[in-house]
Amino acid sequence: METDGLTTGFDDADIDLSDETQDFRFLANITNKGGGSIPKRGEKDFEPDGTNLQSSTLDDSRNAMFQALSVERSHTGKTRATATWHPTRRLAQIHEQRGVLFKAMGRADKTGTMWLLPEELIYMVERGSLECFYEQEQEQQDSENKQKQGIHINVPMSVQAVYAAALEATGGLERYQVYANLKRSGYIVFRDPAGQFDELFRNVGYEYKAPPPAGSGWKLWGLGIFGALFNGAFWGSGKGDPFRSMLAPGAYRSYAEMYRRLAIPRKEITWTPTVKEGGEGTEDNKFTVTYHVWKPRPNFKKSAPGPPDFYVCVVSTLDTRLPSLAEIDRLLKDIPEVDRATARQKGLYQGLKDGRRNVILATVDYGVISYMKFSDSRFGEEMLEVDPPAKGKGKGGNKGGKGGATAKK
Amino acid sequence: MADTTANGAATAASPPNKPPHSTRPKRPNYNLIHADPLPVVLYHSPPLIPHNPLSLLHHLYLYFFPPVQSHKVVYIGVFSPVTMSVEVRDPTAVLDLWNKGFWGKGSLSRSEPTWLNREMRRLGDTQVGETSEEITRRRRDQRKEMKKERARKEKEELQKVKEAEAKSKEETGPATNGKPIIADSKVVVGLEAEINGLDETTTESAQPSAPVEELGLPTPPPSSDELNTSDAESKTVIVDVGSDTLPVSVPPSSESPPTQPAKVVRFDSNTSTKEIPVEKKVTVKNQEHLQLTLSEAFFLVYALGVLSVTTGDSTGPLPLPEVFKLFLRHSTFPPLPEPSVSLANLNPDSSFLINYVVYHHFRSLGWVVKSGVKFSVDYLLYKRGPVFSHAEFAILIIPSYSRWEGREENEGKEWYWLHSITRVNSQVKKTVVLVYVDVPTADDVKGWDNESDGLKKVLGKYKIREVALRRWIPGRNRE
Repeated sequence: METDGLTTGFDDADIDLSDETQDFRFLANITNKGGGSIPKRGEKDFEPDGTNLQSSTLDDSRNAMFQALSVERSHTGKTRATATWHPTRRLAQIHEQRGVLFKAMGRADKTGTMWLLPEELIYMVERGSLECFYEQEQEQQDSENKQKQGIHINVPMSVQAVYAAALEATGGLERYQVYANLKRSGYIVFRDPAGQFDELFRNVGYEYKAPPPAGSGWKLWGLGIFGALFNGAFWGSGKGDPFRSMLAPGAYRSYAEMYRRLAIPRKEITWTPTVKEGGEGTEDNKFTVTYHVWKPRPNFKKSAPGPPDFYVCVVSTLDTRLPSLAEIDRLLKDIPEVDRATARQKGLYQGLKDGRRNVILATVDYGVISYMKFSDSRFGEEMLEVDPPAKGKGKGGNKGGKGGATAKK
Repeated sequence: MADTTANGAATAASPPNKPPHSTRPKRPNYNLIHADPLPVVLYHSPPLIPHNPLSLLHHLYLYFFPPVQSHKVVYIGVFSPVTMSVEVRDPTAVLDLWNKGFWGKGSLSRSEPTWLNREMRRLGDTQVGETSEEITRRRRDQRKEMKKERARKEKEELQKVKEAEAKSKEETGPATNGKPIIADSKVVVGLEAEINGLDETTTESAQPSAPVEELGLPTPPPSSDELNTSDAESKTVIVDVGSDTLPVSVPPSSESPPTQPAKVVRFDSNTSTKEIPVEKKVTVKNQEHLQLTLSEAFFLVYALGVLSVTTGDSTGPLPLPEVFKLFLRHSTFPPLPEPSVSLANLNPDSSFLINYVVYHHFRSLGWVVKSGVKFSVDYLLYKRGPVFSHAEFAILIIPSYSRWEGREENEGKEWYWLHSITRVNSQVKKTVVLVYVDVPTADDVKGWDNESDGLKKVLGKYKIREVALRRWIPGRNRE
């Protein structure tokens, strides 16, 4: 029976704890006692209730936050890493590789020099893991200073300066915001190789683009053809009645047989929506894969990362709307597809929800990021069981794909 | 009346030996009631007796020349331009259409036409099972009570804390150097635990246990003389409710079955110590009808061929092309003028056609498709039907015009629109599915009305693509 739908237990995957303001007292617990437990979600206080208890709790929490922020952050000489920003190449050159972060960042050229992408640079500088210098332009090193050549007299850059110098090369503020958000959440993030401006980064050790579909990319439309042949063979086609009922009176031995006749044939097997404005590769196409994302794993290798776990497309709410069919089609087309059996293994509901391939759209609305997974779910491939199970085969119903149905009472 | 007896029988038919701890009334056997997914009759071959050659021959004959019996009845529906729906009033048709595929909704009910049962229970009938509306109302009331109780407890505890603070202030005097006196944190922890415990207990008791709650319905009017009831003798009594405003096609109430031996429907095992409810049978004229949406009606008329549509003033059933034109005209409000809709110049960008294509698509894949207006979407998809499980998918139709020359393709909705819809639907644990429908142009479908199966071909020219949406949270997908 349909409830009015409101769920009381909010323990599902839709709760984003990072949306909530943290109670900083847990930090104090951890640091003071060495360990401590992760705080639980409790009741929210919405207004002052006039008790000392409430105000002192609030004070405690606030003090804990100030205390956490007041701790002096320092870098030891051992972990100090430096880099130089090359404005012409739009990459940063690393002088010494230190720290675990470089395991999933940057790329070395043939000489062994390590280069960082602009978003990687901003991220590293912003979190205090890297010190960046600005490379002197060639013309400034004119003839009278010739003797100085070979000596690096670079200008140290502030965080603001790094932003000013490198942000444009990241592809825009929105892209950097999503990059930083994913990195802080622990993911391994690389640009889509097609979106790399530097040759060095374009070569990756995995297949990142779906192979062009062999013959038919649109098998979905062809599903009903069998039914059409079936119908044609049985009922002839010379009657000339455009309104002939799809289910002629007859003797049907199963409901599945009836449903086969109800299927509408969609013959266009190779069909790609026409693109009206701004063809492929032009500036207008805002729906392209921006980042390849891997779940954090200890044995990640930059040279052989394996296929990514997620594909993320970053768009801004300022200049995009809900993607059109053509845009969604183009976006999904490049993503490798799993076969139907693999998708179906997760159960009917989950298989449809994740689809045969999916892409995560990160819509950035003035800095607020909202991730949404767009899945190519092909309902047309999944005919449900319509006939009641045969007698003696246990209780009827919910075979396969029970999904979340049980949890909802 | 047909639907009353059927539901009543279903409730009574459930075996009496229920599990001892369960105080909930036994559910009707939905697997049995809704065994058929379509209101079309299945052909069952007669039992084969292997040693009888005649039976074998008969069987062979039937195998090759089976009797045509799929469409035993054709139901009648009346098109109502005011509600833009098709009304079915015959009780057997209503019952069939609901039980076999969950078509339509009761005009006076939330979904299943249960007005009659509710009315009979209101008047004190003891033979009718509880309706889903009553269960929902009870659950909502309980939830409301639980929240009230929780608020009361919180207030009480707050008062306690305040009193404790005031007291300790008095005791220590004002010389505490501004350091606030804090209530014992143990008290607070205890209070939280108590509130949480309260939550749990009320949720548990949400499963009806108290017989008072169970029968917490408006008690029947005490002055039974006025209603001509005499409870003790289990007489059939006809209560005429609002006969002045009665619609025309109400079946005669004398159809009610003859009095049966008293059958006490017990809702609770505790009732043994209490007064045993006396059987009472009430008969009410049914004032509810089944409303079919235009898509549902057209599927029944065109795809299945089990429904005929009439208009209030037409003499007989309308021919299919007329029904099609009628629905095309009335899919918008105000309806399109009659001359603007013609079969030869069919406009594929009709909201009726687009909605119907999607409806037919999912129906023919075995889903039960119901309106999703409650959750700001176009359709809801149920597996098997709403009595079995909640809808898992919420369908949002996005028409697309990639084949239309000169038509701006991206008339896309704003992101906030999508986010608000997905937010609503994630609260009720449904997955929003964008269904892109690529609409053919008028030229693409030209000439369909002279072709065999022309309409089927037209419907096949709409391209459908489903994109399921799911909120993705970085903190929840690391593994």
